[in-house]
Amino acid sequence: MPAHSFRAASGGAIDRDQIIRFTFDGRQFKGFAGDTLASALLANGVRLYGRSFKYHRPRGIVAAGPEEPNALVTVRSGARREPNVPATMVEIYEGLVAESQNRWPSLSIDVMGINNLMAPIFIAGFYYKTFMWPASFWEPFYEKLIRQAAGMGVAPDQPDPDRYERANAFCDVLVIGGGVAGLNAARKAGEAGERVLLVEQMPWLGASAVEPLPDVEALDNMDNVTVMTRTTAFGQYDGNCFALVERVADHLPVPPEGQPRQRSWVARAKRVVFAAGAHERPLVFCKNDLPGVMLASAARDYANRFAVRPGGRAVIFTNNDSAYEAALDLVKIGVDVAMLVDARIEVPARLAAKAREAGIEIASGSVVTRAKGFKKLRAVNVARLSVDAKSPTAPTRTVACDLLAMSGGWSPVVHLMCHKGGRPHYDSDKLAFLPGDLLGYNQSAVGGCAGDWTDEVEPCKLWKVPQPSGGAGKAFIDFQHDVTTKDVELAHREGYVSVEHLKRYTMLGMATDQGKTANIVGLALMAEARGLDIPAVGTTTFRPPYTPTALGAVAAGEVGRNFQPERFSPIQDWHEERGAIMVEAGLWMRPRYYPKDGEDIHAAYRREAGVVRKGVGIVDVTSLGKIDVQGPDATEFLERVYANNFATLKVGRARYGVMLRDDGIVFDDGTTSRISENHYFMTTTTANAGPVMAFMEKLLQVEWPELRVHLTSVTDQWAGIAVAGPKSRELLAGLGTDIDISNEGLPFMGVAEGTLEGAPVRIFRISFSGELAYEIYTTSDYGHALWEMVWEAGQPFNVVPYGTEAMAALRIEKGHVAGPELDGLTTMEDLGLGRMASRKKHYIGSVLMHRPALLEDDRVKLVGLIPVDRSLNLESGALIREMPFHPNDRPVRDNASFEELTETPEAAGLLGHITSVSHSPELGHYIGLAMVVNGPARQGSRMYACHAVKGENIEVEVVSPHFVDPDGKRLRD
Amino acid sequence: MGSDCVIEARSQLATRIKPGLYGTAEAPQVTLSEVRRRRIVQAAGWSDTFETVARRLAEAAGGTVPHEFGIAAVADTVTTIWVGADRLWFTADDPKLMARFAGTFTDEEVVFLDISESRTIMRIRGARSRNVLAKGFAIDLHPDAFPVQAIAHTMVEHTGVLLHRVGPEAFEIYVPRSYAVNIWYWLTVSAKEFGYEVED
Repeated sequence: MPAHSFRAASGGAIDRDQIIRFTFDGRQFKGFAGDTLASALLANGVRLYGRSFKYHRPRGIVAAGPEEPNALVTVRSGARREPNVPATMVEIYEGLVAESQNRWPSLSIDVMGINNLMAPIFIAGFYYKTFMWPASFWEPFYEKLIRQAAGMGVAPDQPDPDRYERANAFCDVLVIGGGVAGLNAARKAGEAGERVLLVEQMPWLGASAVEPLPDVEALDNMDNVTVMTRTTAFGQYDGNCFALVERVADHLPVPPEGQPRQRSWVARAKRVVFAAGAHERPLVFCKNDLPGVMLASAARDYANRFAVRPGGRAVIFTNNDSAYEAALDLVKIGVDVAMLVDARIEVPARLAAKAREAGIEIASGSVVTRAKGFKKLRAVNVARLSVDAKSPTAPTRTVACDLLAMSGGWSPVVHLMCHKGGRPHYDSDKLAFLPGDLLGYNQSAVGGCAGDWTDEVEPCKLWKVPQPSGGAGKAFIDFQHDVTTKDVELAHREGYVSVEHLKRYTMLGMATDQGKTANIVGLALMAEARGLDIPAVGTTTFRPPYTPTALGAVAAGEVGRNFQPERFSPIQDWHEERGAIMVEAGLWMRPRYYPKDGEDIHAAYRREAGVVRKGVGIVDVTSLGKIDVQGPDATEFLERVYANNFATLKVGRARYGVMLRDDGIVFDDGTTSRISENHYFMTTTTANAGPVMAFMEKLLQVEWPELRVHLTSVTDQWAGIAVAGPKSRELLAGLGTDIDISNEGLPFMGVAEGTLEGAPVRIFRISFSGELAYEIYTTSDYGHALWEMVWEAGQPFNVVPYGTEAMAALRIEKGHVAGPELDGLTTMEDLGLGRMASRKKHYIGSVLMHRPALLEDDRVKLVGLIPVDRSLNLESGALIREMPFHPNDRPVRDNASFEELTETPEAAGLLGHITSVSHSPELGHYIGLAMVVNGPARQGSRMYACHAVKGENIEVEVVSPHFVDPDGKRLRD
Repeated sequence: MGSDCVIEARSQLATRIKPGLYGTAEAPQVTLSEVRRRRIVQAAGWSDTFETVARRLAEAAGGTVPHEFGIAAVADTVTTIWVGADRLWFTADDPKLMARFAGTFTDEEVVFLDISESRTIMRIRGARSRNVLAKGFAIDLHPDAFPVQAIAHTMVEHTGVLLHRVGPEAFEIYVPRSYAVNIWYWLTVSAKEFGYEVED
């Protein structure tokens, strides 16, 4: 195991007592608690971290924070594998497994490095130009090849085993960034008594500061201040609302019990202080991507925070003052700083004096023209700039070094401020984009992100180092996507003028770092090429997320059973105990069927429905929408919302009602009962309970505020059980309610209230199945007990529980319409309910239902279908034609045949479709309901049910939709 | 109803509530329980008379009318809550709550509805209650913004609920009964990191 050859004996904010072992590309390393993967590997002398995206060039560490473009690694293994994580953001823990990416067979020997030699081909947009012919090769061959050769880490192929969750935060002041400026702003707000939330993306506060800051302790002592580290504000939204992701357990092998891996916060603040700091920019010169070339601020952070010497012998290269401090700190930790190359002719006197005092040679008015080395930096060439700063002048000095710490100036982190739209303002003195007008209501910016810094001597413009004549080699702008100065020049030559187009063409500023270090230089060079000022070229658009954010954190736990709520009836436990197979109905979970002795769904529902026809069955109907309608004007209200008459409904009676939409199309149906003079109990379909309630509430609030009616959803207050079948009255008689359930006491459509062993019950003699049937309701606490009592009372009659599948079979036999027929296109007339519609009153839909188009004879209308060959199955969705599809039942297998079929339904001979099918236990064969053009007039004729996809034609007889007991005799017995 | 009944009144969470200690914390920082036998009577009237009617209702119930929409009025054993325009909820742990209004009002003045069993009421209390609730409620639960007796008609886990702060670190959530299993599950998962106790 290598020693910490690059770690100073003391110093830094690491815990040397806690040694942590981890592996990188299978090699064992040691680090200390407080190390990042980058700092620990640097301490161990590792310089090579990855291969570049396109050219597979060896790459090292550039930065110390989330802006790192090069050192992307894959961490963890198996289902927890996470690719493309900057090594600078990985906190090491015992047993951490990290691997480099985009190389084969190894990081050191990468055969795809050959791409580098083929660079003249792999220019910007190369794949648009070079992989064009033959076109058919693109998808099967070229794309695969390119994707294999270029790229980043491999996504995990197993489900994420960890949990993510959401949380909400509220504060008076949200401070984004826990550097010196942010801490100070938080402290001031905290001392003023405001509720403060400070978020910091790194695990520590104070940014580059290593010594404990007094502000940190002060904040720690304030109850009104919450500090969240490892938390990134990644998006800004309206109303000072911010999306944050807290990396709760990314620094641990697995999340502790009960804790999520990450927590997704929505923070709402009255006031916001941006204190996100600034990113240092690289300088652009030949081979500036060699491992060993890094940002001066990063070199300084590694020295100060981690006590790591990022090199043995260093050259500093800068165009501004800030690198001087870095140089001094590197000397302090024992790095031999051979030279400080300052592009400015005038150097900052005070800083230069300190540097010289520390033994650093200062080369002013000079530049590094080239980095030298193969897999790591070995030396740099340094030359003086000509007076016009357009070319280097002889002689060139070669300075041996293994670290080049560069500073090309600073870019304030304005990303979040841009998320609501708007552009930052370019400051030509600071050579940086500043917040300008971006700050919104109750927002301010402090510190680096506000451009709050001063140079003793103004920085000089040095977007790229002029090349000596005849100099070859690449100078990189965007390390992550291998974009060089030549790519920008090429894009300009090819006519790209917009910075947004430049981005798409060259990929400048794309991928995981989103060009945090590259964007400004890229657009400065574009501006230079076009002879414009930087503001005239503009910037690309910053959008959330600021840094890559796991989709798991965005979904925040709303997966699996939490994707949407499930609603259960009070009888659910019984259904589960009896092995019911459940099915979703809206959000409700309802028993679909109760398999017995290994039955499949078909056998089960046929058996269940068969028992209902001959004996008695019970079904949980709790999920039906139930709305309590009360008030002196309740009757008038129902008269207006239902198409059929309700004024004549007597107390103690129920009536089937049909509700239309304003446009005259059927909206919903259900039964409404009159409990007392001004009190009704309305039921709706399960799926439409919410929409009907909202529709009626809107009518009361907006259209008819004069009506004194209150609506209350009581779906959850009442549990309902339908008892259906010829034996249902006998079953109820054995139940022991105080309600007279004789045919005279409770006739068809009768309603009675009473009690059962003290529990309130309402019995409705209504039927969905077509049999003698009752719905018995009790308040939900007693739902389970009532079901068990009904179950017990049914034992002498061999009662069965039945599910939605049998319920459907029964209602199709009876010709009752349901969801598939109430499809938002059908009128009462279409459904055979036309005679119910009142002609004496006005109601919702009563005007527009008489539109000519809704009255035409050739509308599709409800019919029943029976296969001529009774052994055949019918299928919902089959198309109805007078002739079978021909020739040989051309199946719809491609777009052309589908378009041919659907473009002109008349030409295709389409006369309708099957809406519902079931096997009829009563008739012993399949039956169907269908909507067919002029359907009722076709009764007695034969047609074809055509399954266009299967290419199947089944000859059917058109019959009445009422297959069972068309006169309703059984209901009334 | 209720007290005279001999058949079992069953909680929607009958098989979900298992008293005990959960999570890894040495001492649970949150206690979860279900409030049973709470009666909820809705009284709804008409805007021209309801101001007067509300006072009479409160008097009949033995409570008071809340001064504002988001704060519950608690008097003796009766809690009164505004749940909408001209709509009040009276709640009390008294099976005869509805009977307190009997014979005093006409339909022209007010209509009543017992909706006690339409809600499953969950109580959460303890030092970390707010941390747990913050994982679902998008409202500010700081005591300055949501004091004791504050009421919010809001959403949690895609479900419309009523949240009532009943103490400095105690809250009750009125959940539509059919959603109760989901919300209980969410509560327990959210509370796990703090350690929680389920009380019978």
